Amino acid sequence: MFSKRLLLLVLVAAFAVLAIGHVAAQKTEITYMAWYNTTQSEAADIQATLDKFNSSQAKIHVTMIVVSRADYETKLNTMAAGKQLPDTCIMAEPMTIRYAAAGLLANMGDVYKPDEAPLKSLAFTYKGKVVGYSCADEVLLLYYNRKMFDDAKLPYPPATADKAWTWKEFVSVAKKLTKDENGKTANDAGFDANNIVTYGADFNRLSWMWPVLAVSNGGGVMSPDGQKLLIGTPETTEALQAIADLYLKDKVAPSVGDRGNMPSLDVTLLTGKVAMATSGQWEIGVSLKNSLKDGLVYGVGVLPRMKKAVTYNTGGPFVAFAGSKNLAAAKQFVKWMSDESNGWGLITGGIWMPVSMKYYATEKAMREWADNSIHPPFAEYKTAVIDYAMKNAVQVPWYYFPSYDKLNDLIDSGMAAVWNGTQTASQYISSILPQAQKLFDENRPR
Amino acid sequence: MTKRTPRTTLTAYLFLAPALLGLFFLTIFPMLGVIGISLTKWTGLESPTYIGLDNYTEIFTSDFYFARSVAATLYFALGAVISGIIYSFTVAFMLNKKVPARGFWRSVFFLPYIVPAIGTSIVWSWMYEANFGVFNYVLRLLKIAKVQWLQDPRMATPSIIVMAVWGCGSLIVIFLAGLQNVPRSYLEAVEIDGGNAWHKFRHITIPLMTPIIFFNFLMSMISNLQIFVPAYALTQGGPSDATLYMVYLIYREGFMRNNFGHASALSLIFFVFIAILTALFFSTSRKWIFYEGE
Repeated sequence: MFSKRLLLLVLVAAFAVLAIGHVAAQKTEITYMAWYNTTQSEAADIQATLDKFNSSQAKIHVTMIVVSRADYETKLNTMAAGKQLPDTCIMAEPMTIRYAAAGLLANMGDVYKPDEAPLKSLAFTYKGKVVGYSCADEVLLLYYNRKMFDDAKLPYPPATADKAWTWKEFVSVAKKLTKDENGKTANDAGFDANNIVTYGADFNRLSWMWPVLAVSNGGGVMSPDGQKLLIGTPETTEALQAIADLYLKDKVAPSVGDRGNMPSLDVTLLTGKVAMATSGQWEIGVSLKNSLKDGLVYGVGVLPRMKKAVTYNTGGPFVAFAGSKNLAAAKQFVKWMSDESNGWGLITGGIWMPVSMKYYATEKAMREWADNSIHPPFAEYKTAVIDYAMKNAVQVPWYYFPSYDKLNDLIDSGMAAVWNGTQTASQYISSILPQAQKLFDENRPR
Repeated sequence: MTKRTPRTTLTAYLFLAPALLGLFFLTIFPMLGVIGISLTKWTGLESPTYIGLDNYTEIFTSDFYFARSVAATLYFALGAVISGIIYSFTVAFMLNKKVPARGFWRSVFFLPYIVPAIGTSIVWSWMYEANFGVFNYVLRLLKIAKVQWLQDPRMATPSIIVMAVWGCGSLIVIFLAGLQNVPRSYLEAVEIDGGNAWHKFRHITIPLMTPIIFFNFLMSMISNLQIFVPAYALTQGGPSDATLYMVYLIYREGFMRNNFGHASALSLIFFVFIAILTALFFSTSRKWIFYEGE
């Protein structure tokens, strides 16, 4: 009898110890949703980062939900409708403030100490509340093939904002670089615009990219406080027409259709299809580095200006969802993810720029990530990219305006007419202006 | 005949249950849900707000994309249906003749129908590629200027129509079955009366095939009006909304732009439109369809 009681006691004690041990070992579970662009192997890279986080944490465990980039918005919106949102995610820029306006995003302003917060220019803000910071700093730049400039005995595009080309200077150089199949430039008599083998310039016509020239001209899509629509201003239509005229009038740019069929930026520069092209900083790591081994020698400069030297900055944010049952853990994870040391390969590899001021504070700090074989020469990169980003960048309106994607849909809905010359920029913008105003008024933060 | 008892009734319903459950849970309830959602302003991010018929009013009065989407959809559907019917009937007619390796050719023409649409879309996008695609390669050989097949708003829908026509394998099979059922005795009667091949085709084959033509026309119209995959996989509704077909617009409004109420109203309007179109075809069918024995 005694032995039975003793056995029971021992069993109860063993269960108690196991139960306490289990509770102590139990971690707070959170989920993180991310996208892969082309191959699912990218998911393995993200998982490796999460593994690093998990092994460094005693109390939090994060599980990845990975979705193809093409289906990302659909998946997230469906999860939101079904009230099954993850705890954290990386978010597509245009949908961020829409989620913030619906109260779904947690305040991220309280996550960082003042000296460790990401750059203010990377803050997605709704009604004064920061709901996320870009995972990286990205700006729009002018890339060019150095050899083509050398061959044409032309000076390289300016690498400092204060010396940015005027639009007229930009077009003038582009004409000298544009060549038809007989070797004639766009300035020569008998130039055959139907058989161009080298285009002098390609100013990116993506609906969110081209307005940077309008901003430079004093216009844009909307005012930086998101309270006034500027798409119908003469400054905006003038800039839009100038970009369209690169193909229509100046004969230095490919048609929008031809552009759509061109390969990646590194190949278009390497093969001499285009001499100068505007795109984002990420191209250094995503595209340009791939052709270095094939002999591509490229340079980077600041965008041409109409009035003031300006570029756009952007970057998808890491966010935490306000409805998360483990919000503190979710915020801790987001903070960890935005620490540069966890995406160092992407930064030194030229895809991302750091988000913290400390990496821009001294030349030594800048050289740590930007002075390597993948980046352009440091002196040029510093002024054309880093200083430009710090002093001349303005946010794409999706940092503060809900549903910027709807405005983009509208602007894009008939842009082929402008690019192909069947309508002037002014005519086209006038035709969509009432709808744009309606959309703007419906979504303007009040 | 077995007498109906509670037990046999129960058995019958048990056998019907899978179909009925599917009908209710996958068709009727979602449709009722769509009707309900269409009466609300619902982003999917916040609770829905009842707004009555405002979504419908908005669609017919101020929706920027509705009219152009309807136009794009009708353009595609009419193009795809008419070309598809002509193409598949012609192919079926030829495959009904005693051609060498007839089984092989029948498989070849049916094959596109069974290949997943997303796969064929990607392959076609390569063929339509402006610099290295096969079509522009041929044009280059013929010294003809290259065409921006999917990048030019004027060419995008015709290019997608060609893809749709290529995938008409099911229509060919149905036409073929119909052609094989045309009685030989009727055709021989024409021959005895001195008629030629055209007379046989015009006065025997075509009239006897009208029920099949009607069926294929209707099914093809309904499926082509609901075109989605090429707009999703190849053009994303562009360029300049040239391929903003209705189902893609519904998808974009609902799942990408968080206008679920608006998207639901669009889908119901589209549903009613297809139903009316179908009823119209049926109402006119007696005038031009020949049913043997009537």
